[in-house]
Amino acid sequence: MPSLPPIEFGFPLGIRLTHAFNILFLTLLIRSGIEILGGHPMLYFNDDCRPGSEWIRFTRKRMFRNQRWTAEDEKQAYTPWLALPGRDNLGLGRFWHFVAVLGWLLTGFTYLVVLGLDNQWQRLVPTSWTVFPEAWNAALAYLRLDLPSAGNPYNALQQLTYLAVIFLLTPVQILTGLAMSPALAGRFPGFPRLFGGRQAARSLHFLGLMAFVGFTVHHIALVIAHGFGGGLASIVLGLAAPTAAQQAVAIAIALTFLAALIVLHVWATRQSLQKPRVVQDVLQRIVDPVQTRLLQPLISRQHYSPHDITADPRPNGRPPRHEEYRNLAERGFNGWRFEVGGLVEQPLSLTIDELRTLKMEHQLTLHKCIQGWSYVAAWQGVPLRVLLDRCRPTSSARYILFKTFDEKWEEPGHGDYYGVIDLHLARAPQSLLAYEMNGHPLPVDFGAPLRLRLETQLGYKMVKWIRSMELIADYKDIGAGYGGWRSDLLHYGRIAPI
Amino acid sequence: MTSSNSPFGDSRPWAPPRVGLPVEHCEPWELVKHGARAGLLAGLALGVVEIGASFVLRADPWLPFDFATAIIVGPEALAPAFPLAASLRLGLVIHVLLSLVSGVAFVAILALTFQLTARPWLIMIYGMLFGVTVWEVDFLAVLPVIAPKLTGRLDLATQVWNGILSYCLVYGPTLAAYVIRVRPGMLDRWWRVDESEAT
Repeated sequence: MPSLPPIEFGFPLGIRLTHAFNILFLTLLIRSGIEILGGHPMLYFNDDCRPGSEWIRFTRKRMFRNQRWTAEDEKQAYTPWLALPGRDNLGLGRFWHFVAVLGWLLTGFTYLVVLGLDNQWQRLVPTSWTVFPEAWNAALAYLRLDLPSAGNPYNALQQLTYLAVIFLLTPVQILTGLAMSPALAGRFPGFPRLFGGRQAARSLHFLGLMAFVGFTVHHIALVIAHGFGGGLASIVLGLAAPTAAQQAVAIAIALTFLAALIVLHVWATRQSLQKPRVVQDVLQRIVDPVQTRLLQPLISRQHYSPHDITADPRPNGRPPRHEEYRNLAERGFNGWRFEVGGLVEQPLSLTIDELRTLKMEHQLTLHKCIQGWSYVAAWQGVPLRVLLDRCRPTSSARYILFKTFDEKWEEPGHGDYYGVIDLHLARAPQSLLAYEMNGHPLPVDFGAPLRLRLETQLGYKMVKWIRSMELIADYKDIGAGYGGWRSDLLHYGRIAPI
Repeated sequence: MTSSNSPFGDSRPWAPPRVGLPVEHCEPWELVKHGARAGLLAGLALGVVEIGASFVLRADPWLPFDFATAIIVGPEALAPAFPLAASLRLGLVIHVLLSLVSGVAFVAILALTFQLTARPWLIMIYGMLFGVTVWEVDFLAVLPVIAPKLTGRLDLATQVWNGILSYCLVYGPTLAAYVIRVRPGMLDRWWRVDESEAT
């Protein structure tokens, strides 16, 4: 093989800029990722998420073992000094994470283009098998507290490390992140299984984050070992052989960048905590179009086996307490009527027995909570499209509003729980109004008498304790106008395909 | 974790109550005390291993003391003429101080990341990773800056054993073993199966 031309150690402008943006987006990803972890600060390698089966946890409490609790009790609020935005703000943390992901991916593609434009790719891609013995020799040199001789321009160990981070660790992070999307996992149930399941993907995603943090620590340590001023001058100013004065300038620019980065993080955190609605509006405008285009159209094709059913699934949310609901529950919901109205040609009013006479479907699916936990269950009920065929929405109907018995007594003053879904989502396969769970009437803890199942969405979109459904043209004048109680109050997304 | 003195405001109208039993608490003085003890114990283990390794590999059991002393004094501490007693005293003080600081840092990191109650095998991994990191930061990043003349002075075998392996396999795991045995800050084991709690 002909020898490759030497590469100047100084980096071209494209590499330097993408390096800076990489730092920005990675720090945003890490902090918002910590916020998301706080939603369910436990990691598993099993999709049942049985309490106590977690391999690692980041909380100082555990749940009572013989007392009622819900998954929301397991949340851990992290300090805003660490998490973005901190203080149990899962909704905004997710928005920040997804915006940072988009920025990070854009940076990554730009970086790859810059690498490919000239011979910069040679920095990373070994062109000879001798890279392995050379990497071993470099490792031995480091162990002797010595510095290995420079390569072209990296030594072989540096080259292999950067190669692994960029072309192995980064794709793993992207793929494990995508494996947690209910829309992708619903459409391609085998995809998360590549990693051992949704929870294994979540664990690997976390371990990937730790690998990035570990790489950063080692990277900085070795930059210091190789000459901090020279390294900074190379990545900041693009100089291969900087003078002492140029190194000082590079250090000053790097410190200024670091200060600006800190200011940006503090600003983002303060804005998120003080003006969450504004931040939600801005970030949602960036994230929603991407989600809507790429993930929302996917339809669920999940078919789990009865052997996969989780023995003791987590309940989430506290059941309604008011008199009307209690009386109905005590009577097995006899006398309750499910009302279908709004923009329909034929309003419906159905008892639970009448609902049972309609065409029924049965599905075994993985429930995926926004907090992070999951369970497998069998659901039986009426496909939403069957109800839509009977009530015949008018041409102006675009959404379905689900009203519930849930008065949210534990958080009073914010109205009854409600949810809004897109009409096309209701017509998708496996969109169900379930009245049975695992072969039994739907338990109160899981949403009796009727709950929604949307297998390409996160759990919070699957409204429980349903009272009625209404076809509507717009959701802006309902509640705070964000398409759901949790979107109004907790700044969750209106759609939840990831 | 949500101090009202924080410069970050919070406009949310409510904070939902959370039920649960605490499994660990973070008492700074207690953690410093246990971190120092863990560091002392791990430093002792590391010192013994390094003296033994230096004796076997270089027939000079006191080399680790000379090296520690050289961080302050400079390369002349490695010269044969340098007084052994001074090297032993100063080297011991530096070694113990660094061990204490690292031990406190290890326990503090565990406490701040809620890992005082982590599974034993996980704490052992933390210990090993912490040991490697201490070696790397101390010897690859800090030493070249504060004492550049000390780098590259040892043969590979001595450096591999006295360096990365003894930190990874002795110092870090000893810190971890102390935490697993004593469990500072732990109030309860979260993975215990126990039905005795009152409802």
